[in-house]
Amino acid sequence: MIYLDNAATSFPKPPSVSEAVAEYISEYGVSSGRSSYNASIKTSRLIFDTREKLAALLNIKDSARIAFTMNATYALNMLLFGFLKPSNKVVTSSIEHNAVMRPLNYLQEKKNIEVIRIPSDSEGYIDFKEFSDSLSADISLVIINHASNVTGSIQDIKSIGELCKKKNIPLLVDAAQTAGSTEIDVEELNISMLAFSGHKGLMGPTGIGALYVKDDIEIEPIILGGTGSNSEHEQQPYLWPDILESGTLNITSIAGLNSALDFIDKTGLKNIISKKNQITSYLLENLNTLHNLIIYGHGIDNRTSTVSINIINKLPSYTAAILDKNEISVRVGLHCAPSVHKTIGTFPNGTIRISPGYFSESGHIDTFIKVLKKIV
Amino acid sequence: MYRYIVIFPNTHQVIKAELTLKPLLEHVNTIPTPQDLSKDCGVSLLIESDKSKNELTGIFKDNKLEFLQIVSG
Repeated sequence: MIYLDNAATSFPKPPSVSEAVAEYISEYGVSSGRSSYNASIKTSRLIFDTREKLAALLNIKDSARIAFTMNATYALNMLLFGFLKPSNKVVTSSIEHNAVMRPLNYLQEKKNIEVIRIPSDSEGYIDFKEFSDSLSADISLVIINHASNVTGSIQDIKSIGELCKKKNIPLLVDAAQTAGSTEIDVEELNISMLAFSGHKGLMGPTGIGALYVKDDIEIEPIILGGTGSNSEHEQQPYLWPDILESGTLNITSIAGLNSALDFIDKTGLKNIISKKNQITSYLLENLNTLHNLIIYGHGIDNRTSTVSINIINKLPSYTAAILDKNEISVRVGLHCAPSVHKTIGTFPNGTIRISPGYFSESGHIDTFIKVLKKIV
Repeated sequence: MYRYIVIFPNTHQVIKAELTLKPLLEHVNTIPTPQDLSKDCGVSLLIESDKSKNELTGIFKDNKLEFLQIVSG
């Protein structure tokens, strides 16, 4: 199989990831934070160490402010439902994923939250003038997708963060597509809250994501229960990260994520970004040689390795069927982001999304282009 | 040599203190929290050291380690 669907999840993972998962399950796979026997303490150290590695990668001062979740969608829901109060006003963009759009639309309908959507251009970049004008004193939150899962366009979060800081408005960034794929420094970018997955750019197993909340922001928990702390009380403890981590964590995936973070550290994030940029450039160069093809999004700058295309007069599903037969894995359709497709003019049929990863090779692109040429 | 049992609000702070203090002090070990002292967190640290309680408290504060109490034992 030629796998070009890394925007969904990275594959393959670094080999050490499956080894770490197997080691946890077979050698010390117990619960953490509830007991004092050796295996439980070892598990608690593993979880602490993973939080510390994430904090180092994202320049988060206190790793206790990172809570593990099932994935980025859970993280975004926990932050939106835990932060927003009835009648709050939120600024967001037209290029958000449904992981943001659906909770916001629900909150708008049920909790009287007002949602202001900033339009984006056909490449997926928000209208900065309109964004700046929208930041009135009564805005409670700005939530922006760091990079689109359709066009790959990376927003100018630094400028967005500077504006939010000036206006004293918390900034929540959806980093599902960028954690491990681009540099993120929460301090430099003035990010108050961050949501991300552990299995995409960070190359860990599925079933693990995380959120970060700055220490001056209060979040109400939406899932409450046992935390291993304050056990004599029947009220949720307001301790980080316990407040947002009720129930046993997905330690199996945390073990894998820990190993993936070691791989990123050893390889160097800059080298990972550079290798992914090279393969994306190669893909774009080859796509540009084909006729009857529309390439969406930006050139090679300010983008992730996610590329969306369409073949003129051919449905994406038709192309997908042929690619499937040739064992080339891409994703077609709306990518859970109908608003993005409306913005770039590809709704309702969507696009063919090609997303190489760190382990993709130029030979994979050559084979893909060869098959695509026949379809075009 | 003094013996101290240090009680923490949660496991994150126990592990943070354990990893921070091990290079600084000779005997730092995790133990089950004595139930007569606290029911806050299942794990505590047993520290055996020639430092006074005030000196030990200073080390915790200097390293920004959160704890609930240090009990001489």
